[in-house]
Amino acid sequence: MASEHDFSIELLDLSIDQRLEFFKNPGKTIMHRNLKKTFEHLYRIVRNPAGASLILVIGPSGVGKSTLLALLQRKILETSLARMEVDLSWYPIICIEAPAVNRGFRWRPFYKEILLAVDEPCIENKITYDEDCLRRNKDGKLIVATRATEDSLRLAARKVCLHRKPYTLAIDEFEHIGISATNEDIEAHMHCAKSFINESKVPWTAFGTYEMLDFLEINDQLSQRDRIIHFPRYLVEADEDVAEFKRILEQLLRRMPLRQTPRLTSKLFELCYIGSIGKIGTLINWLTNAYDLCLSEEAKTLSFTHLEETIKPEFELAKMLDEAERGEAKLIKSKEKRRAFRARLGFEQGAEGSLAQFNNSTNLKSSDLSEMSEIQPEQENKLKKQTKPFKRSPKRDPVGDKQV
Amino acid sequence: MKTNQLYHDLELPSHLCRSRLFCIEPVGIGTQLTESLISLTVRLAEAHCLPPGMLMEKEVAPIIARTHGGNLHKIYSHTAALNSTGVMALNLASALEKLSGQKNLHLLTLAPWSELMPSRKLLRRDRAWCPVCYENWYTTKNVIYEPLLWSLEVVKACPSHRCLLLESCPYCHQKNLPLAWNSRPGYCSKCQEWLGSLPSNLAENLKNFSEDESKALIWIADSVGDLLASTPYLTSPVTKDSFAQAFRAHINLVSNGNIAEFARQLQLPKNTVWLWCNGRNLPQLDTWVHICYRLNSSLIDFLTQRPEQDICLTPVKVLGPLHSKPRAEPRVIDTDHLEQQLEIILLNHECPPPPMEEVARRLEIHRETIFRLFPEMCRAISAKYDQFQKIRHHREIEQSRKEINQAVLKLYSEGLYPSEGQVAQLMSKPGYLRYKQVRAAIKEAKLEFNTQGRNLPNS
Repeated sequence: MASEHDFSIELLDLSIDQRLEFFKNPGKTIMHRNLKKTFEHLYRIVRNPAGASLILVIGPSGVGKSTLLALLQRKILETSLARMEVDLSWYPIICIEAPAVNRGFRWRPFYKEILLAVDEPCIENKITYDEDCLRRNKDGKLIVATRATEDSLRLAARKVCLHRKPYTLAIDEFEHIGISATNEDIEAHMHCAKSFINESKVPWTAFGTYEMLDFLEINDQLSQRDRIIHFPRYLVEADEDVAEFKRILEQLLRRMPLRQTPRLTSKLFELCYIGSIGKIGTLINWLTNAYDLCLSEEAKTLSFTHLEETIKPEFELAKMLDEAERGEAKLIKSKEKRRAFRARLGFEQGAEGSLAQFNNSTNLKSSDLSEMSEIQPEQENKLKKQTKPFKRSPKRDPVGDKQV
Repeated sequence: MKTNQLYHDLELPSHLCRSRLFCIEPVGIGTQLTESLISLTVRLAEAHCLPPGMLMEKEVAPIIARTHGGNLHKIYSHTAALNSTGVMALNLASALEKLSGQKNLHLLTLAPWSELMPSRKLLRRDRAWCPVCYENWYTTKNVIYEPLLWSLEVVKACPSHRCLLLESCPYCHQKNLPLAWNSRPGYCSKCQEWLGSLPSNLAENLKNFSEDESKALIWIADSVGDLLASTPYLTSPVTKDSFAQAFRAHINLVSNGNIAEFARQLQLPKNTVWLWCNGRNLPQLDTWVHICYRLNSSLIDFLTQRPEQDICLTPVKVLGPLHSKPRAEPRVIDTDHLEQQLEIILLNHECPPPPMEEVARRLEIHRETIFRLFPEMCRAISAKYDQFQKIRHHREIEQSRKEINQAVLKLYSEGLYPSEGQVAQLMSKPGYLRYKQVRAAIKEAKLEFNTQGRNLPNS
């Protein structure tokens, strides 16, 4: 370890608020492994979407998706500066947050968000010259409706995308589209999104929780040209994940302006993992709360009790974990799933049992299919390599409750 | 891992000022059908889903920051000037350049030709269009716009489709302003109907013209179009001097440098031509086009190419005479007769006596001319009229006062309060209440009524 702590020593003499602010908003983010990996993958696809029109960045809440969006925005702007100076009207990326209102998701505020993001003039006066907006009064005088109707805002937002030509329209909190919506609603929403993308010719990058997978199950229209990027949490089962999580945790502890840097014990690691279920964003928020408590008590260092007192209640943690696991079950690739899928396509025989199991465990949906079909040739090669001559093929073994 | 690899900055680059409006590419620069600045404004408004009036008022006017600038309500009658040679066009061009980041928008106006084109009778007051062009662009999914050429007064026909440009909407039969609040390329700004149509619908509107005439109209459109097409390729600004030089070169060949002879052939005053040759003055665009047509040389060739040997003015007269209004012959006025007439009017006890305006109308001579010849008599006629007017005025006031008196009495007898409104209703000329002495009559009548000892009813 190079040094005990990771802050300038003068910070210790500053007020509590200033110290807390330093930890809370450092103006930079810790590049942990999953963030870096996902970011690189995402950046590559955004710059070269290769036919993809909807890029879905899916991960549990608190894993760092909004940070990822901020990183993406910064990187794209940084690399576009030269062209931006020449082409004054070009926006390399448009970032918005899908708005949630009390009655669920609505498109009107969504289009307004797009228009606001590019500082569009006279948003309240948008018109379309459609027949709906043109009418005549009783004297036969032509009246052009100058209210910003949903149609006119949609057209204006579409034209913004057409003329500003961004690489992508990045939408944070995309799962808001499903707030208090029935299956029919969601289907309609997805159709709406699809036609917008087709008309504006700008791919969307949607950031959201695993809920977004449900939308794709309901409507496979978008799956034809979508691309899923999974932003996972750190899993305690994988050794390298544990090592990375420890490294981040240690880094965060060293960044707390305290007289004595807290020691990272295995007990502390365990508590921190449980309290964040392996999500760095959640971990940072929680540590901030604990650090706040520690500062208010004017303690010398962050103790176990500070963390215990600020940890989320069990039921909340359990709910978080449920959601994360449900999503992961759908997204994480496994041999069984792949084999069952091969069987479905008729590549392997006698795997009906696993197929049934597969169907039970996850509702198969076309986005999975596209993802899997993408990696299939590679996987096939691997399988071929593993098979040795005269070795018994395991697929003849009894599978599930059926005997071959 | 080192710290600098561990962390990543999230702050965005600061200097990211974007243009407020979309950067829309002008159509047809360097061709006969170069887009006009008004057309670009309208397309820009359409791209932003705004009526052009709104765009001009909210975005353009604050940048121009002059009262005549972008506020459409104030400049409706002058909107043609936005395509022209002057400061209005340049202001709009630079405002749009600032707003959209697009460059060289002055090429969409006549500003590069400001030295050569006097603004008189240069641009049409109303919008004109070729319906076949509109229809073609629509069916081939091209941008629908308005070429600068269509806005020129001298251009009557479409060079590509050999038909006359239309000026009134076939649906509402109204004319359009060059730029209106609801303008939209290809649509009538009054009724919002589509203005494009196929050539068959046009019933070949050039048929009304003779072959020579229609040939001339198309030649003009072509020639002016070529001039506009050359705008971006001008290496140095064309000045009055270069125009004069070209003029002198042509006169040298046509009439051996004899300006008077040249002017005679064109049926123009020789002084005018002389001023052109010296670079002191410039012909209007229509005159320039006329001369070039007679010289059989396109406008741009006239300016840039040295004329060849043996050119002469073709004797075609299809374009009509250059000066459509010949100078009026001086009128001889019989002063004796006029004096007699005036005397009769003065001595005649006509009632009411006529004013000088009326007298001039009766004698069919301008009032100022009569005054110049017989000022005394004119003054006498006017004085007589004035006197009569004064007496009449006085009489009317007295009449009104009498009416008021009666009205007040009548109102009291009916138990009503004689308010001004009530009294006015009973007067034959209530407007006279504007005179102090008339209004005072109400007060006087009330006072008189009171002194007679009667009680006022409650108001």
